Amino acid sequence: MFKKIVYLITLCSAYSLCGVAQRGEEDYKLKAAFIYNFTKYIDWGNANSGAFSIGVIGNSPVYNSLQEIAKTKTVNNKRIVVFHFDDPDDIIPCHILFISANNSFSLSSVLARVSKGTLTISEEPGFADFGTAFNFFVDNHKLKFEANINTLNEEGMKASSQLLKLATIVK
Amino acid sequence: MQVFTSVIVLGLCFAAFVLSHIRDYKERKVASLSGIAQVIATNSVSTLQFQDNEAANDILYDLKKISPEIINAAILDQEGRVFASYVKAGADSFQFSPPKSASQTNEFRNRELLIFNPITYNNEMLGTVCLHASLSEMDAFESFQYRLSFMLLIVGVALSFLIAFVVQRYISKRILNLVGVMKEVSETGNYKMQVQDDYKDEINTLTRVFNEMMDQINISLQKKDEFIGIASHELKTPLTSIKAYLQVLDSIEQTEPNRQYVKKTLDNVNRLQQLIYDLLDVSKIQSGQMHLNVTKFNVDDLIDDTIASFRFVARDHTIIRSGEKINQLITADRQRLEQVLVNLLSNATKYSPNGKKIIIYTGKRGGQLIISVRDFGIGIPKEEQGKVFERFYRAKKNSILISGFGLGLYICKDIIKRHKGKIWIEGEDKGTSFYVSLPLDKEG
Repeated sequence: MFKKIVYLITLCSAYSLCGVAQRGEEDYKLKAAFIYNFTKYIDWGNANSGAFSIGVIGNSPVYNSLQEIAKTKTVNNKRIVVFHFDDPDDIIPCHILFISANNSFSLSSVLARVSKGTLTISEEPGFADFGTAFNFFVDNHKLKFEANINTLNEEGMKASSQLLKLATIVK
Repeated sequence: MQVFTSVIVLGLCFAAFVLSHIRDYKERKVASLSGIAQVIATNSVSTLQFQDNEAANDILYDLKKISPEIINAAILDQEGRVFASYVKAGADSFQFSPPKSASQTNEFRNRELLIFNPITYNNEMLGTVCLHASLSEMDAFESFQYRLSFMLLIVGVALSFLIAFVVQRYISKRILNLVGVMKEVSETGNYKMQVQDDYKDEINTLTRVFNEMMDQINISLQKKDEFIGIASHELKTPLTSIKAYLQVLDSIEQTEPNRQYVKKTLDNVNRLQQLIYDLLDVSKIQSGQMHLNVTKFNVDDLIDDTIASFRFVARDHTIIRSGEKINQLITADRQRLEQVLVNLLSNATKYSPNGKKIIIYTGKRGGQLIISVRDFGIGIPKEEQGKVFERFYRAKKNSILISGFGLGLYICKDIIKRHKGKIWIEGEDKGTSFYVSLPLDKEG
C-alpha cells in the first residue's frame, strides 16, 4: 500500500517534472529566438569578422536552440557560430554573450572578461542593473526583457527604437 | 428634339461624373487606409518578433486618434491567429479572417471596407494587419453627389430650353419661313417669290441658293413663255392663210368626196387654230399682256347665243338651259366670257361621250351671277379637282383618248379672275359641275 502511494507520488512528480521540463524547453527556444531577433535591431558598427559569433556561458538549453537557429539563419548575411564556455576565463571576443542563470560564477567575474563590443544578455532578475545590456524576465507568464541604455552606449552599440520600445529601460 | 438630346447627353455625363467620383472616393479611401495599414505593419514587425502583443495593442490603439472611421483593427500572426486587436469605443467586435489570397489588399462589403497589409521582415511573412472601416460618410457623399448632379441637370435642362428657345427664333424660324415659301411656291406656282434673310450663316447660304434657283426657274420659264409666244404667233400667220384658202375651197367645191375632204381638213385646221389661240392666250397671261375688252351687255343674251352656236358643234349632246333668267347687265369682256363658256361646254362634251345631256344653270346669289355647267360623264376624282386649273394639267384617267393641251381651264380661271369672279368644281362620279360666279352690275 505504502509502496503504491510512493509509486503514485513518484509518477505524479515525474509527470509534473516532465511538464516543467517541457515548458522550460519552450522558454529557451523563445529566448534563443529573441536573441536572434535582437541582432536585427542592433548595430555593431564595423564588425568585419567572417562570422557572427554568439557565446553561451553556463550549461543552458539555449545553446542547443541557438545551434538550431544557426543552421538555417544568418545575421547580415554572415553565418552564425555558437560557442559554449564553462569558465569566464574561456570567454573569447564575440558579438553576443548569453549569461545563463545556470552557472556558478559571479556576474562581475563574467562581465570583467567581456571584451568591448559584446552584447551581454542575462536571465536573472536585476542583472540589467548590474550592467548586462539585456536581461530576460517573465511578467504575467510572458517573456519580456530589460535594456540597459548605459551599457549599450558604453559598448558602442546602437539599439533600434523598434526594439527599445518593447523593452523595460534600465539606467 | 434638341432639348431631349441635351437631357440625354447631360444625364449620361452626370452619371459618369457621379460614378467616377464615387469610384475616386473609394480609391482614395483604400489608398489612405492602406497607407495607415502599411505604417502599422512596419511598426509592428518587432512586436511580432518579440511576441509583445501589448505593444502591438498600443500601436493599434493609436488608430483612435489617426483615423476615427476605423472601427476594428487586428494584427494576425503567421497562422492567422489574432495577435493584437482594437475595437473603437462603442463599436461591436469584429472577427477578422486572413485574406483569401496573399495579393488581396482590400474588400468592400456593403458600406464597410476591409484593408489587409502583410507584415514582413526580409521577405519573411510575419503576419497581417487588418483594418475594418465604416464608410458611413459614403452615404452622405453619394447623396450629395446625386443631389448636386440632379441640380446641375435641372440647370442644364433649363439652359438647353433657353438655348433651344433662342435657336428656335434664330434658326428654326428662318428654316420654317423658307419651308413656308417653298410650300407656297409649289402650291401656287408663283416662281417670283424670294426669301428675305439678313443673317450671315449656313441658313443664309441656303436661302441665297434657293433665291438663285428661283431666279433660274423664272428665267427658264420666261424663255419658255417667250418661245410659246413666238412659236404660236409664227404658226398662227400661215395657218390663217391656209384656213382662208380652205374656206374658199369649201364654198366652191361641190363634187363629192372632195367636198368631204375639204370639210375634214377645215375642221382640223379649226382645231389647230384653237390650240394655237390657247397657247397665245397662255403666253399673254404669262407675259401680262392679256387685256379685257370691257362692254356692257345682257347676260341672258350671252348664254343663249353661246348655247345656240355650240349646238351646231355638239350635235350628239342635248344642251338644256335651266334656272332663272337673269335679265340684267354685266360689265365684262363678252368675247372672253363666251370663250370660258365654250371651253366648259366643250369639256363637258369631251368627258361625257355617247351623247348625254348637258345642263347650263343660271342664277343670282347676292349680286353675283352664278353659272354652272353640269355633265353626266366620267367625273373628276376629288384629289385631282384642285389641279385641273393648272397649266398643262390633264386628267390621269382616260386622258389619252381626249385631245387638248390642258390649257383651257387655266385660261378660264385667269379670265374669271380678271373679272373678279370665281371658278370652282363640284361633284365626283356621275359627272362634274363647273361653277362660275361673276359680279353683276347694280340694278337700275
